[in-house]
Amino acid sequence: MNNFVLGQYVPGNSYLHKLDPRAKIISTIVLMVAIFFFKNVYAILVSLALIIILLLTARLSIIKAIKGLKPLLILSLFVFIFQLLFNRQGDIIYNTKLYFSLTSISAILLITIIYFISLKYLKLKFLWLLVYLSLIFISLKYLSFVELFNPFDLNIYKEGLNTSLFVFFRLITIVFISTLLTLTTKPTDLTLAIEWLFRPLKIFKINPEEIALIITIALRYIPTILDEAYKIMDAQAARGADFKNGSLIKRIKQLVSLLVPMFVISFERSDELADAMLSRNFVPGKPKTRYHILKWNYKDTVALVIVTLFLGGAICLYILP
Amino acid sequence: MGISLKEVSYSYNPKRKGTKYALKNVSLEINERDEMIAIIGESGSGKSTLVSLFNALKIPTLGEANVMGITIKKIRKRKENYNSIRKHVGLVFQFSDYQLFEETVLNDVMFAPMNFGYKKEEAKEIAIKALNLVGIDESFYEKSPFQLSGGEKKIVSIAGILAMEPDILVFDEPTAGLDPETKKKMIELFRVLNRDLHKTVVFITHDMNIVMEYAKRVIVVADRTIKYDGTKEELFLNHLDIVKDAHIDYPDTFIISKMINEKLNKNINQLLESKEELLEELLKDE
Repeated sequence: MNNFVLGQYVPGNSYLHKLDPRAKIISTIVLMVAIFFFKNVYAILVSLALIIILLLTARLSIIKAIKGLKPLLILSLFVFIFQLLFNRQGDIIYNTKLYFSLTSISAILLITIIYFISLKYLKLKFLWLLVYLSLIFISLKYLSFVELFNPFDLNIYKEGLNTSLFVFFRLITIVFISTLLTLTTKPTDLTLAIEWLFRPLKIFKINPEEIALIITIALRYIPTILDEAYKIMDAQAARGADFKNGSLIKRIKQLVSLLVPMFVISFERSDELADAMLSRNFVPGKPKTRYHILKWNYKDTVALVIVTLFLGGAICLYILP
Repeated sequence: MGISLKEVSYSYNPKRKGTKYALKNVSLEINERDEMIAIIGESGSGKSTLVSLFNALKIPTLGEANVMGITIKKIRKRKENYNSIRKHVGLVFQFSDYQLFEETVLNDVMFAPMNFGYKKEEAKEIAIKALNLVGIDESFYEKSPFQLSGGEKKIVSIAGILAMEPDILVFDEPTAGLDPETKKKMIELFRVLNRDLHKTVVFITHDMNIVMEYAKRVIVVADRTIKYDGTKEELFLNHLDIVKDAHIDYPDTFIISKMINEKLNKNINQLLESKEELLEELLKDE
């Protein structure tokens, strides 16, 4: 529990850390938009390289940024394979026959069983998934003994490969850009910046301070609620509940024993928090003195100008043939 | 059998370099029958961590725990299923809100026996037995646990643990935040469990009067390890340093009899278990 770090923020003193969070949020959005204007994979690769240079010069660890990719790896892999298989434009650059035979199917079954059993003991799950997929491919390609169906013609087209690489790298670049923001900005600073950026919403009678307060409180209570969840799980485990094993229905039933107390406790806590805030003279929407005041520096302006130029360049590339 | 810890250390994040241990080098033996043990020590000293080692909710980082003949040790494999240990060692948490979740009191108490594979009718029987034991009458059975008062919730959560019919019962600060009446009821329940049903009762408390009146054995946890394990008499009379370092109070009877002895120049036994005994002693002297 104690090793839970909220967000990905890494304390530091680099020029990226020192930028105003408002400038960083706006730059992030502008950069993402620019990436979507690129039409070919080389432009994406160049921007990815630029982002990595930014990461390195800010003395951030690349490993940490790659770890941020983790949740998206499976998705990007899926997109990659999908594009590769179903995009049928351009010349054929690779062709092979895949055999659905008794031997290949039984080999795949065996590999799948081994894969799922070994999954529990392995750490580099993603690498293992790649190995698994390539093993399936190899057995489909080479094990042709006792064929059951007609062999399947696998064609990979030039355009298909291009698009799949393009989509894959675009996804990675976009995630890297957002990681750049979250690695160098404290969640509290982010909220302050969001509050500032939402100011125009005052016209629609929406108070940005309230939104910021909601985000701040939510962020503040994530570790607390997690801690609570662990305690509840312990309390139920002490009565023989088992959250990991057993049939699906049984596990869902056990989950109820976790969720009900979580909700009850959370609602009670929010009631108490509201009372505690009111008793310290908090009035929603009333202006108050701030702890942190954001300061806009000439460096922030410079950063925005550079980023805007980048966007301009991207639009030019898009319009020009 | 019972619980035995051998040089157990526990850390919440053992992989981090220079990690701090929540418990260091703890060795301990607890019998499965007839013990009445109080665990005392200041907040944050490691008491709660210690008791969650008793039923394998926490696995020792170093060393080895043995509970009811099953060895609990840090191994590389996935977490093993320690449910059979939990049936023998019932752990009641400090906050009953963490435990209650069903729609009715009766269903909630039935949760544990049903987890251990009893049929619904049997589970109901066991639950009713447990509820009778703690003194919750039939009018409560169909109530929602969330309607109850804090004290009632606590007692229901104890029934939820008793329904597992464990040999060893561990209570984490059972009397915190209770009114004197409920507190008394709770302690009397411990006495019934210990004296009449011959169960081992372990409780964490900050109330030295309860320790003096009910505990047979006292374990002092301080500075992340066990500083004292023995009788209460020995602790209060001969281990002033431990009492001071662990920020423990003296029981009221101990303080009062000491004051009487000093001011009135008498020689009353300082280790009387209750105020009634103290009064008797005083009257006898007259």
